[in-house]
Amino acid sequence: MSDGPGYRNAPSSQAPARKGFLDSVLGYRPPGDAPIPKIRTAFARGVVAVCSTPWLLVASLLAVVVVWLGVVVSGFPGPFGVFAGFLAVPPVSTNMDVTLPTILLPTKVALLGGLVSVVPRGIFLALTTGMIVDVLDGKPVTGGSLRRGIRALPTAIGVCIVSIGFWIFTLLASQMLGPGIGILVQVGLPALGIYLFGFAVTISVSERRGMAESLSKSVRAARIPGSNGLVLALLYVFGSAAAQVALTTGSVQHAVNPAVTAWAWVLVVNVFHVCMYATLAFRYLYMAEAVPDAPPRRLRGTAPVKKSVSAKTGSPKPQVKSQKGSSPSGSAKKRR
Amino acid sequence: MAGPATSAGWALGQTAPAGWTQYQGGAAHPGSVADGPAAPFAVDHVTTFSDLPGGSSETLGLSAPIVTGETAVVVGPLTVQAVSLGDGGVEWSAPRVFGPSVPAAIYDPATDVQSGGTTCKPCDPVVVYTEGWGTGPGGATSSSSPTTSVRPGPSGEASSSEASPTPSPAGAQGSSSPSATDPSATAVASDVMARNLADGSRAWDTQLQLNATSRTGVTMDASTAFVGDIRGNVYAIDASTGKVRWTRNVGGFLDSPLAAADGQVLVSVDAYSAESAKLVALDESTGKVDWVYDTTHPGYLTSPSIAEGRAFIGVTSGGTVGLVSSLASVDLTNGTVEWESLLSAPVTFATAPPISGDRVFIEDTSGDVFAFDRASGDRAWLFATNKSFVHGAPLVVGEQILIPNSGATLIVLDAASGHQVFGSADVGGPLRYPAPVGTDRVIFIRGGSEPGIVTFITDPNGAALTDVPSPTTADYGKILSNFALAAVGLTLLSLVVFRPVARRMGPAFFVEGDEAAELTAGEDL
Repeated sequence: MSDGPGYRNAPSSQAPARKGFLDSVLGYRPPGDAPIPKIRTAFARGVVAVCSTPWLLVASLLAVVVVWLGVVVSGFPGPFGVFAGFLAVPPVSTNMDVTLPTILLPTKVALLGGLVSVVPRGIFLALTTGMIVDVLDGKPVTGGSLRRGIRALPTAIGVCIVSIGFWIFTLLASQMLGPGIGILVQVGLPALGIYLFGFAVTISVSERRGMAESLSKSVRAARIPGSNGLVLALLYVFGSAAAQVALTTGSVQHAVNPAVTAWAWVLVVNVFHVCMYATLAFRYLYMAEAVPDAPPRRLRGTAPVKKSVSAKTGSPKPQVKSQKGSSPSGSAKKRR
Repeated sequence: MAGPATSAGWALGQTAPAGWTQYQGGAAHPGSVADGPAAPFAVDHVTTFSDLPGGSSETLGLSAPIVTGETAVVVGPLTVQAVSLGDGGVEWSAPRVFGPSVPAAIYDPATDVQSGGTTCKPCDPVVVYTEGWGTGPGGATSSSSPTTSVRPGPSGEASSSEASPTPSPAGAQGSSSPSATDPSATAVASDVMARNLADGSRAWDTQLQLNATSRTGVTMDASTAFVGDIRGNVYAIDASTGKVRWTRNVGGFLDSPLAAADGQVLVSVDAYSAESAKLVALDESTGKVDWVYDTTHPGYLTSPSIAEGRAFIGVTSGGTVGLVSSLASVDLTNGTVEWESLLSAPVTFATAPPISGDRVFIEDTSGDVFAFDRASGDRAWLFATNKSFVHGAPLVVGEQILIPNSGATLIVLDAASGHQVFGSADVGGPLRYPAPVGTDRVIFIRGGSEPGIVTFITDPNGAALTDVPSPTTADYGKILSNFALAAVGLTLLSLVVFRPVARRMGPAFFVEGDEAAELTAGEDL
């Protein structure tokens, strides 16, 4: 009996399911074998990295007090509790970036102020990530850490701008969908933003990539099967919101001379946010080798490039890293 | 009915006070008196009203009081009450068709004659107020409302909610009284009523039916009462007869008391959806639109205050980011904005910015009180009471400002410095709508579960005045020292706890070939 096609074993008439809208992002992905740290491992590494490094602690705490003094001088009446979200990972922090200028500035320039605020936030994000990557690599924080961080400034600013887009979309969607589903949107979209772009600055610092490349690689890294990145982002957004609510509810609304305890709580929450930077950085560095590079872009009107050619003509830096063992910092690493 | 009585605290032989005969003390809503009661204060007496529906829920309660001589008149959901300020007793109480508790106004024909108005017979003052809420606000409170209170409009008259923009001929005033043939319009319509101040008897032959529910209260300028409704209709009513002089539809939704001065009526037009909030100036004698200041955003406005060719209004606009609130100065000649200064939080439509000297004041719903320069809009000071505020407006008395707030204490600020100079003991409920009585007393409406009128009296032997700056005044030494204590503590604690942990855990990654590190490598935590 033939096993070939025939009426008994005719090929199924059912065509393969057509890919739908957003299937590439939200569709099922089979479990992979990429090395991915557990959430608790990554968070523990992040906390230890930040809380054992004086420079990171001091930079975070000073950033809070400097900006607080600045907004108080500008006429901000409080509440101080909103600063619990000051160092949050964008787009969680974006709400503060955009709304604070509306309190301090006339309406016509307030939105401009919101856009300008991405620069200082980007600087802090880039410098902090530069330090974190070195600390995770087991190196001391030096001027080189800051230089590497500042090279990632365009990416950090890009992340902040993308976050403003997320924020606007969240605002519009939550207004359109009403208070019930709107709350889910207000939590879900920031979490999606962190999930997709939370690795971008780390990629830029550790692999010296440009903004566009870092953002796209961050999305690819987030989509590695089994990473539980979205769960981590959701836990973080819920935690941030809970801390924010706890520190603003029931407290004196308008006062600018916080008590020691108020300072302590706000500083603790902000250090927690910086720990989240480190958590994301650790997760990326851990699985960096497993993150695929972008397929080569095909120029319009040219034939598809062969794979072998692609390997030679692709991005030079990953190529070099690959030869050295895919080390983010140029040296071969093993995960611990 | 209790007769007028003399309070023990009321100085005998004192000249009769000029009165606070309408919302914010006048048609222009000055909200201030040059001479009057000053802190420290003590509670003189409290008049409670236990039968107010919605009192505890704070959705209804009492209107802003109006005061003449020793009598205060307040509008409640179901009654209009005249209260003797001497002993707190009720002089008269008249039933009222269930409706929003909005301020009444006193028309005094004698005063009107003195200012060149029409002659009057009789010349007794009358209280003009609105009543009627049709189907009511709903909920438990409306179940106790007299649902039969809805009065149909005058028989079968053809009229639309688009009120005539033309003044009504004098002879046809009665027949041109606004009415509603649309049953739904009739169901929510209010009317205007007048009663004699002396005994509460009806002053007009019949009440004046409006096209829709009125929430603005009554503003009285000479012999004309101005009233607005929630469908944008403005009515000018002859206060002596109850006949309509003119009507005008300005669109939108009218919540705030109208203001009148210098031949103009200013109407705050709220817009909650697609349209924008506006301030509309109408000619006081004809109702013709003089100018419109369009905020270009949906939102709502406070009641305007008028002084020396300028109107001051609080604006709350729905912007891209959220509600944005400000105080604006508008030129009365053409409606252009001279300056606009930001506030901390939205402002309620039930307030108006009081004016005194070269400053204008406003309190926002977060309880922040601001003083601005009237000419430039520069902020002179801000005092944060941190007690939310919805009902009424600050009262400026000489050099002091009395602050209504959701707390149960009277807060008094110094008008020059913005520092708190006095705080009273707890009076058992939120304090709203202050009104001065003579030179030594002030009354507040008390909200909450025990609504009533609280009379404060100047107490020369009271607690010494304080000088407490706003909690929003930065003390940089305190900020830095408190920060330093918290930051040093947190840093030391973190390093003491986590550096040994970091040493124990080792580096997160190790370089290939680092055998020592590999030997100590562990698994996931």
